[in-house]
Amino acid sequence: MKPAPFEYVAVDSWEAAVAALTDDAQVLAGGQSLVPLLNRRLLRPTRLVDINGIPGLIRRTDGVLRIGATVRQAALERSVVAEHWPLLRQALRHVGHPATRSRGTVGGSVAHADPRAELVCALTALDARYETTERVVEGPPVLAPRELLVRIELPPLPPGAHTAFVEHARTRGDFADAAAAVVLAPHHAAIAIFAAGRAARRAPAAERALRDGATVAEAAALAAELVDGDHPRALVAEVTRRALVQAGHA
Amino acid sequence: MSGFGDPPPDLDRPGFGTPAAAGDDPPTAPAVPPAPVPESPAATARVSARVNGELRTAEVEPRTLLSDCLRHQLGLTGTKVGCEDGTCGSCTVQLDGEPVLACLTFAIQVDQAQITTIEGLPPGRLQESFHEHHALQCGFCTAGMLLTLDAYLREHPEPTDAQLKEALAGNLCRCTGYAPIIEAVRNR
Repeated sequence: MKPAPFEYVAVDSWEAAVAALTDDAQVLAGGQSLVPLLNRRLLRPTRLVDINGIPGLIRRTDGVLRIGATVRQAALERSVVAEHWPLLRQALRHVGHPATRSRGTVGGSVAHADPRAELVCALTALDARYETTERVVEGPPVLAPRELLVRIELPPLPPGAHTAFVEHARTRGDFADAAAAVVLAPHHAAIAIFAAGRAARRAPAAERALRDGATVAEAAALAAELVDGDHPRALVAEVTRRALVQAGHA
Repeated sequence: MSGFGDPPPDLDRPGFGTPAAAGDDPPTAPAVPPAPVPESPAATARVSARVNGELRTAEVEPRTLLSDCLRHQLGLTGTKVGCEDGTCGSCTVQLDGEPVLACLTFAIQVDQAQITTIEGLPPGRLQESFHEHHALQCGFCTAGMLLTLDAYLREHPEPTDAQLKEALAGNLCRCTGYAPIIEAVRNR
């Protein structure tokens, strides 16, 4: 199908974007989730505010990685600077397909807030902070009307860290049924999982157990306790187990 | 109108079966005046882009998809439209050298950009290899396959089979079962 008519406003700054947002407007970033909804007329905004003209940069200063919200997923995947956070690339491989990643933006993934977003799962394991036009928050922000995500900040990984991302999806490139993102370093463990339609979250009990010398199977079982239902639990246990093995847990 | 015998009115419009005569008529000159835009809150905009190396201009509504603009306004019907929600990859074109889904991009967004459609992809070993290995039957997915592969092989000239399958996972083919396509790329 074709989208219903709308008014198109292209902006080149966050101030202009906020000013252009009327009550019934939608923000157009990469459009790889929004345009299917428009094409099927599940959404009929009266106005689209196109933020593709706002430059997005990937910078590393004092060890902190700053990713502009309008950075394309493909750009982050190729970024030499972001190589110090290999989990980003490991997760991005599973986000859609090459053709959607060349348009889709990093900020769009976060703002669209699909609970099965791989990138958000990876960012959760990496202790990301989110800067919006109004505030700075620790977890993925629930954006208020006329609030826009501007930047994502990642602290440096601990020395000697190994990371892995594993998911289970029915078909490649589709949203996953379950996924696990893992960061392992001496005296450090971070596990983020999602499954069963619930958004990514950390598995603190499993992380604590790993720091106390738990085995892969024990940690995976603890992570799986976060979700309900036999099947989702089995999936989380298995993707967590595989991710821990890939990240080099003995 | 009967079911038989009525000749379709516009079989000879540019790109519909017959190649557009290059440079002959202005690319956007329609035989009939452009349809009025009823109750649209949006005025049309003039978009210029370099399509297959040639500067082309079109008058588009904001909601006009790039795929529709290419097919209906520029007559480049090599770009196929399958699902129109980003699932099938048939409409893949290259925007500034990167593969994108033309059905998930608005024409109004590509002003001043470079676009390559299947009509602008230079004939080469990849196409010959598709032919030799029967990597297409109905051909509906082939334009998207070739444009995705062209961009991918530029960066990864020697992919493994697993990498190739990953790169092509966004392009659905309902005829070949994919094996001849992988074979064609490997033996190009």
